[in-house]
Amino acid sequence: MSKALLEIQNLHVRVEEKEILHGVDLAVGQDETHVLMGPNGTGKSTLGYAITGNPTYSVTGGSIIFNGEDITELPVNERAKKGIFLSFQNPLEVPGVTLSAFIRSALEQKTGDRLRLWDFKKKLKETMALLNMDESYAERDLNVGFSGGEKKKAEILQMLMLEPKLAILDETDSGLDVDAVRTVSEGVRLFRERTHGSLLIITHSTRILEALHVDAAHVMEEGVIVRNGGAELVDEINEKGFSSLKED
Amino acid sequence: MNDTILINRLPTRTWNRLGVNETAIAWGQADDLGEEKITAAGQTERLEITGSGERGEKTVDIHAPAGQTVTVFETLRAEKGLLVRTALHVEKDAKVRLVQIQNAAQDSLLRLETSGECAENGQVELIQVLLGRGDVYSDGQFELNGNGAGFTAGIGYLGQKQQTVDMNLVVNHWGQKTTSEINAAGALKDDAQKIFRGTIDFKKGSAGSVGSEQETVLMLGDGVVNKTVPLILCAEENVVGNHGATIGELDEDTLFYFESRGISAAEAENIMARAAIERLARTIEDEAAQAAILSELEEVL
Amino acid sequence: MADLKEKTYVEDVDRSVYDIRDAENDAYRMESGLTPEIVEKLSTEKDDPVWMQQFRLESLQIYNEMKIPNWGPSIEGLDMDHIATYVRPNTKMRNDWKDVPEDIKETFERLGIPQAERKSLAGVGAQYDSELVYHNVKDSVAAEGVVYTDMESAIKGEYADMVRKYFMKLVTPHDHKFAALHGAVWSGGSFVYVPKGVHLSIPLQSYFRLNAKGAGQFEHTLIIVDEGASLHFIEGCSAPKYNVANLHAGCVELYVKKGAKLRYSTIENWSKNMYNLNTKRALVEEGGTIEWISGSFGSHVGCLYPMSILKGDNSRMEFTGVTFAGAGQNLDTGAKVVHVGKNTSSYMNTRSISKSGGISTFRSSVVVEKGAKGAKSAVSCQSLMLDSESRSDTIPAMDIRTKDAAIGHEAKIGAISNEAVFYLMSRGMSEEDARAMIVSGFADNVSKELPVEYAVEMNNLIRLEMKGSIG
Repeated sequence: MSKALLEIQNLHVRVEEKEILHGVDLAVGQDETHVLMGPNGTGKSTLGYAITGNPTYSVTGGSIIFNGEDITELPVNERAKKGIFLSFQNPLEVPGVTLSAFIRSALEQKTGDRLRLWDFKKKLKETMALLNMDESYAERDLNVGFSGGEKKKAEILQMLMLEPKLAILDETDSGLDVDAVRTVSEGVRLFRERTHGSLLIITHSTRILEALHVDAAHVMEEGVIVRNGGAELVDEINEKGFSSLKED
Repeated sequence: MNDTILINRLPTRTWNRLGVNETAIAWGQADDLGEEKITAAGQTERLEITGSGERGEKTVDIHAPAGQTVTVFETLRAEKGLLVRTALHVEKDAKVRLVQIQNAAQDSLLRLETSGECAENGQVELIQVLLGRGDVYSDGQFELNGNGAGFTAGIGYLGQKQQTVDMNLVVNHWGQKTTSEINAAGALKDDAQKIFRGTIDFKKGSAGSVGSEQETVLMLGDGVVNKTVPLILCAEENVVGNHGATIGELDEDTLFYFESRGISAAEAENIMARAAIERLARTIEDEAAQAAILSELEEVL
Repeated sequence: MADLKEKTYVEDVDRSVYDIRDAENDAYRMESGLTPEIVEKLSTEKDDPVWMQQFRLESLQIYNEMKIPNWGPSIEGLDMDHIATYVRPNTKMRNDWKDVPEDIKETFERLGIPQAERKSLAGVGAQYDSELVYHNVKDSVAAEGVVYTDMESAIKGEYADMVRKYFMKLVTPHDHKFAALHGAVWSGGSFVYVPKGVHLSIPLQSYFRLNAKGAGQFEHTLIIVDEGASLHFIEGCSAPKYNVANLHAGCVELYVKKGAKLRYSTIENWSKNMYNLNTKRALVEEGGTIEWISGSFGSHVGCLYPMSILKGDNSRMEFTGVTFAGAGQNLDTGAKVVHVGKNTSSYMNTRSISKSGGISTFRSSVVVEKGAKGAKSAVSCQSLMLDSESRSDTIPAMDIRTKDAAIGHEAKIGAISNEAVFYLMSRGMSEEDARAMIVSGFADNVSKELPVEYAVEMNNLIRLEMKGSIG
């Protein structure tokens, strides 16, 4: 593995009084694609939120090292500025703020500078075209009245515009039709190709992975990682399901 | 001479100690700023109403003849005290679109008295943009007389510093199958005080009517006071009325979403305070008015 | 000043009803109207301690100075000069139903009180007109130190100091005109004290019956649930109908101490000549919970808005109510809450039904004070209009003074859906039954929360109100 971008050691996470993650270890190198699989309700999304820094998910033990820096205590927005991005499973609707204005604000916060409007608009337009998104969405309120597919595309659009070092895709492919999965998958491939940012893809299907080269796969069950492997692990689970793992 | 007068009366009283039944303000003899009569159909009128002297009083009379649409933009420049009375007369199948944009001086007092009556299928679309400078008292009384008459209101406000934003909006459904929809959204900063009273009144005979009202208040300052009084009065069986209100800080989920994109809490609050106004500005679909609102917003915030 | 007032009032009194003796049950009846003499006489009759007599007279003065509220339903039909404030039944208070006079016992038998006591209650108080005629608490409950007694005994007995400390401190006579009236002429009611850490698994119940024509009932209920304790208290009330106005101006004061929990359930079924101007209030300390369950079915005019003061951090309130206003009824009901402590929460869920010219109003007030950081409040009210002769108004108000709060409010008003009626009728139900069933379902927010016997009683009341509604 190349130099580690993300290193998670013995991570324990609670929501209110309930511990969800019971000591997770995970390392993601630079310029790598990782897949995190596992049955529903085992804590995959919790891990995504914990890495991103959702205050509802409190880390009670262990550490998260990003780019050599301990970010376990860092606020969400500081982590985002350092290059962590989460594609939400259920992106929030924000009335009154357009998709375009939202991305612009995020970019301006990152650079601390005003953007050149012309350049920004141009890049936004191009990127939207790549994702087969109608231009009009740029001036619509963020996620308001978007279909499930459009919401997911808007997340991928944000990823491509913000160019994070690590993007966590939480069930980005769920609930999408075949065409939408293909478009999203193409967006993800472009992200890897252009920025060489790393990916942690949380999924329980494999449709989104078809266009991607997977470097490593991890299986989570009941709040711990139970298996680590390469791309072959994805195929194994595809064939036999998660129950096969129990016999190991 | 200053007298204390009572304005913005709630159509039916409730507990006095809540201080929402009416509002007392100081007002007196005002300069007559004249009357404007608008009947031109199918076009857009732009009025710049500027207060002069201690107090000024302006009357605007808007008449939409049968089947015609009239759009009026009022830019309200209160220097000290300004009262603008706008009366809408909407005939059968006609429509009036009234956009009121506050552009006031720091310590001004703006009073709006807006009223309207709609004949059969007559429609009123009211947009009020109240932008964080000076005190505002807005009273609206609308009568949906004819069958199928309709009313929509979009109200966006920003309250800051020691500002008072005091609103009262009453829609009376008289005709059958009349509709009303009130959306008010705003943000309060610093020590701003705001009252929104919204009343949907289904009179006997208004069968088949539908009314809804929704208010969203974003509380951003430690000294803010928000009062929300959404009334539904009903004397008719076959109607549907809804109201809802959401009051509070930026909710955790929204904040997390913003922060996960690297936007700080303070910036997120700023964006959301502007959002209510910007959103309303977009619905106006008039570039000049939009630009005016956005530049004013830039200046005020 | 005071002298002048007294004179005026003495002259105004209608002397013709002086010292009426009810032919049927030989009760003592105070003359109608309100004067210091009448209040003093009442006080003497009741053998009040000195401080209480003083309190009554002060309250009367406040009553005379205060105006009738300028909001809410009209109470013009209520003429205080014709209301008898004190009617004593012809019996002392008993703790065995065998000793209660036959006619009064029969009344309570018809209402099912002794039966319910045997089956499912930890204690019962029964008031007939102005005085309690029966009061009893199960030995096992008394053994845990739970005090459940009539107010008159409480004020003079072992708990006199405690009662004096709390009596009308939460609802003071200055609160409103009818609270002042209550302070002047209150009689009867219950005192409950649940000691620290004691959990009553079955409810206590007080039942109030106003039998006398043209009379008022002014019972006082004072409940203190001490730290970590819990109690379910049920209040029922009814009266036969007369063609003159009766008045009920009771007062309920509830103290919920640290970590304690109190559920207060009421099924109100006063007759339709009653003016029900009742005041209920709870003061909730740290981590405490007050739950109000309220069914309002009776009365000609009703004004009832139980108030909760969430004083302690993490205290909470829930209000679940249903109001059914039929012909000739104007029921103005709802709830009030004041958030004072940090991280307090309130939840109101109400349904109101208007029928045959009845007027129902939902009125609420949610106040979040500046220091009440982390307050959460949700109000949901739904109204059902059963015809176009009736009225249904929704008058909520919110006053929010901290930004660190999450306040939600939703209201809906509408009619029974024809599809729902059609669906039930297509399964063989009559239209009347179908509509009654839909209305019962609409009110199930309350019936679900009541002990099963009371839920059945409530649904019977709805069924009764719905009878003949198809015309």
